[in-house]
Amino acid sequence: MSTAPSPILIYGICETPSILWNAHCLNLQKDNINRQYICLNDEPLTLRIGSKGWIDLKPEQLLQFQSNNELNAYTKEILLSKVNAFSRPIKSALVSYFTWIENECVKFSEGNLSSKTDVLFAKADHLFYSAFLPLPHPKIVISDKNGVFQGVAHFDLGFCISGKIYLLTFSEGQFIRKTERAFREKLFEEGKDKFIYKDLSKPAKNNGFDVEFINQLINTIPSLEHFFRQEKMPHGIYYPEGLNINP
Amino acid sequence: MSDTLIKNMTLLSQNTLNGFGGIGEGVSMQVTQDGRRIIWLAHEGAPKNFTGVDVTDPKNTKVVCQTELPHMKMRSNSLEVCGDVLAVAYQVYEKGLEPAGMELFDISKPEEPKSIGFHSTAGPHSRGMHCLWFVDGKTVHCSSGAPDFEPKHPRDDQFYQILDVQNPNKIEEIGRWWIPGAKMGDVEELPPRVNPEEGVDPMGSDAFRLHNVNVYEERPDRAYLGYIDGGVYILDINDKSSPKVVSNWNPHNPYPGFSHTALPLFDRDLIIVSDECIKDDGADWPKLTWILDARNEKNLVPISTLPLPPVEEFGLKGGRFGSHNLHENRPGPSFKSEEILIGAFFNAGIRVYDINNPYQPKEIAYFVPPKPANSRVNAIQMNDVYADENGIIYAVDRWSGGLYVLEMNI
Repeated sequence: MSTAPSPILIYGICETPSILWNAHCLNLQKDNINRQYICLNDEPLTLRIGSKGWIDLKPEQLLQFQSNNELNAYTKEILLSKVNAFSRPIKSALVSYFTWIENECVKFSEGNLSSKTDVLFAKADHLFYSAFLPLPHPKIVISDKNGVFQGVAHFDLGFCISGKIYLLTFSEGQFIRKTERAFREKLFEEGKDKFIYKDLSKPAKNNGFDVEFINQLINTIPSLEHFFRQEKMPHGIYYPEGLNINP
Repeated sequence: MSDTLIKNMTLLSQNTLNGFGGIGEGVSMQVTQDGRRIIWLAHEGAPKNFTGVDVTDPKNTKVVCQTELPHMKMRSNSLEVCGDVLAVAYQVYEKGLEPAGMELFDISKPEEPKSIGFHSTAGPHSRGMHCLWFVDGKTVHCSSGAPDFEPKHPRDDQFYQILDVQNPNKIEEIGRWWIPGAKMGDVEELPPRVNPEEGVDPMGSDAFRLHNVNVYEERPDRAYLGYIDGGVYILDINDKSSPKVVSNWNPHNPYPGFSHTALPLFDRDLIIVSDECIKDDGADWPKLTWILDARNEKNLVPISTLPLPPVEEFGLKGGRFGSHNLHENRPGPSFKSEEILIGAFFNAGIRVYDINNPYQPKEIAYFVPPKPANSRVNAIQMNDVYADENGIIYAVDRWSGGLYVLEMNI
């Protein structure tokens, strides 16, 4: 009988994935979504910027912000800090993505709101939290049937939407090691209903808004475009302890 | 028992090139119109000029062409292929000799290279061209002397020149740059020489001259120069007629000189810099390959070096021990990676590194064959390396081993 724990998706900067895998196996991290990895169990997972777990905002930190725009800037800063300093395309991708969702939030907030929309939280700076959470450097741990760590399949950018895990790379002809190819093959073979992989062209390097990159991103993940179509919107990124708020 | 040291590599074949297995710093691949793969090799010295080897079957390679130099006091050392055009650098052993400069060949029929152009850089103070870079079919970036250039020091004769080769019958120099102070008449003073040698022998170790220059389509406005004892220069060549210094990084001294190649990794904002080992028996150890943080191109910061094998094991093994040429991610049928580096390290063979974490590069593969027959030193001297897009490595020995074809198992 298999004793392997549920697989995890590590995101952000991680030099030694086996450390996190071992922590996961020992159940040292109690939350399914934490600041370093996400448990990929059988529950259909959707991660938005306003989802609980990936960011840990303390009350005293919250007091420093005068407006939602400041909080949004902080959120973006935290996500960008999860990009390796020597990974320019991933940073450019995030910058383009943030610019795009901010533009979309403004457009939506100025348009007709659905009857299901909570008007109090339908301003552009609140809608930002509904956008799907971009996961830089997603890595899926590959283990054997006993849960022994074998390695990781590396990608550049990821999203978790409605139980699907979108995994993107910007390889553009770069050599891929045999071990990496083997891990990816194993991952996609075992999770063909769960993982969706696509190699995209790199975003422009000037840290601006690359509309062509966003177009190919949306073509690959059409649901990205409809992040505000939901009944319940996350109200922010702060989850006070003791209150059970489920976006 | 084999004397070969090998990890995560397979030797597919060796070709000693009809007994002329001494190869310089020119290894470049052509895919012919009929689909064959030809690797072109520049010889370390006379009598041979260049050799073309059909490597379509990498386990069974065949020499298809081998050419002669006009005389024994010259070498071809460096070459590059772009499409069906081969550019070859000519350097002479005594200043003033000819031919010195660059020759272009039509290699659409690899068995019959046809000269289509020549650019002379011969002159009373010039030994001609040492290295060239030719990847866009239009421009050659090179290290050469020139008829009108008299250096203050005889070893500082080769500087950066940009040649327009679109019309092979009328090759034109369109830009040049040298380290200020190198030319007679310059008012600037050169920095102190690193481990200066007496005399005027142009082969002496201390020099403020250009070795390699690399220019890539990702940044056509930047040239990356390994300027020997001058360290690394990044030049703005947006106006090719007037290159301007963006920045300079120089670890020499205290390090023992000879910056050779500056390889930019654009997506990672890193620059890899090799310092060429130029002395036998570890006399100039350590000759390192540096990783520079280039996020701010005006302030290059060294963050690590590639780990070398133990000097106790290799320092006195024979010949040179240390860094030299790198696979340069050039366009064409070429291996491209910003996480895996392949280098030639003389008697330490061919070595492959994973720099996914640039602060802690890891050696992941190597190949060190035994001393080739008839070598003038007691060990292999891997001089240059090229890898194709399939991860097949073409490595060359400096004295007699010729071409080694390897497959990476990584």
